[in-house]
Amino acid sequence: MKVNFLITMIILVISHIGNAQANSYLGAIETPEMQVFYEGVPTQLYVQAIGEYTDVELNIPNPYTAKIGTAGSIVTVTCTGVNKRGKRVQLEGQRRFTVKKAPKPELYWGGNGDGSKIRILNGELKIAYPESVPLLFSKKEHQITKYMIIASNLKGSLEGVGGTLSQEHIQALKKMPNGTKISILVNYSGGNSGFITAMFEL
Amino acid sequence: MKKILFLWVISFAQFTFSQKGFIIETPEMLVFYEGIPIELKAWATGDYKDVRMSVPSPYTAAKGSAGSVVTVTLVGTDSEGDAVALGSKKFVVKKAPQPSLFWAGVEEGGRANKSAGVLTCRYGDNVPFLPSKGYFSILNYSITVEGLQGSLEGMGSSISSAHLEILKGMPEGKVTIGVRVTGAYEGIISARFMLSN
Repeated sequence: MKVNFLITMIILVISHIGNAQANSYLGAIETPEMQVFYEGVPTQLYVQAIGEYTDVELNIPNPYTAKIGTAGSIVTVTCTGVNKRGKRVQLEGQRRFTVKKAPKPELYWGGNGDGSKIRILNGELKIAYPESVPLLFSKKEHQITKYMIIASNLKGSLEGVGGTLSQEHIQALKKMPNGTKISILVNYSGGNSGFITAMFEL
Repeated sequence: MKKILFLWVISFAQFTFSQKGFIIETPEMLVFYEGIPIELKAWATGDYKDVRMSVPSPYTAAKGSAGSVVTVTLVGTDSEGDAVALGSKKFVVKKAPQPSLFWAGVEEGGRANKSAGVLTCRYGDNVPFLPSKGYFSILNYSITVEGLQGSLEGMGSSISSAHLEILKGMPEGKVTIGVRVTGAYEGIISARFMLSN
């Protein structure tokens, strides 16, 4: 009897020590307002069950990509896991993610951002996300479909297609005096599409 | 001996059974923004009291700290009264995102109201935090108009009445406004509007 009791106790203790090691994650720090999905941007989720569960699954795909046009909606994320008895159970709690529109990228002219002085005229326009956006945007690529230039010394506008200013337009800009204000608007596609404006000074 | 073992088992059982739920993270969103207060929520999965973080909540990253990493550590007090480290999380500090420019409440691409000259900058719904947390002040503006020689330069966040008069006299066309802004974001923001009669 004594031996049986001791064996039972030892088995229970070992099993609990095992559990404690499996649940080594003791504390969590969350930023609830940053629980955000961006339209069209795949977001990787890292999930960990608290307690003794295996084969943890979310109710949404992982990575999750919110559909374009769903900004403003809430995605409720829940989780299931397989318990010790081999039964899949719902884990307590849920998280609410707000879907938002992707931020706008920024326009660069020859590597210069909005408000820059242009010293060397070249025709390369590029749009990219600045450092301030979360990392998940670093993989996004956009294509400039067309551009339009308005200058403070120009009647009308210069318009072209693609992300490179035409030679004719570059020559027209080269004739303008220093201090001329140039505003460039580009339309872009890829992931989220739209237009961006930036202003430069020659 | 039996009692000791029984108590030991019970103590483990309490620790284990008090854990519920799940933890979910988006590792790419572990970000603090310069000048933007971000709410933090901490909790422990075991039997701990007085769970606290190494930084205040909300936490506001200082201006000029972009690029640095803030490690938030979590400490709790166990049943013995001892402080226990419960984990940590690293947040990358970034510059605050660029806000959008509005002319008398009209968003970029819209039709400008030539009678109203109030320029404002604010966040739209595409920032991961509450848009109302952004605070901005416009220092000066520069306006270029399709077909107008030169540019209109002014101070502050209101287009001067003289400049509005010039704009009223302009035919339909496109106008670009660039403003120098300070606050949560510092730099130039440009937007284009349509002038109509």
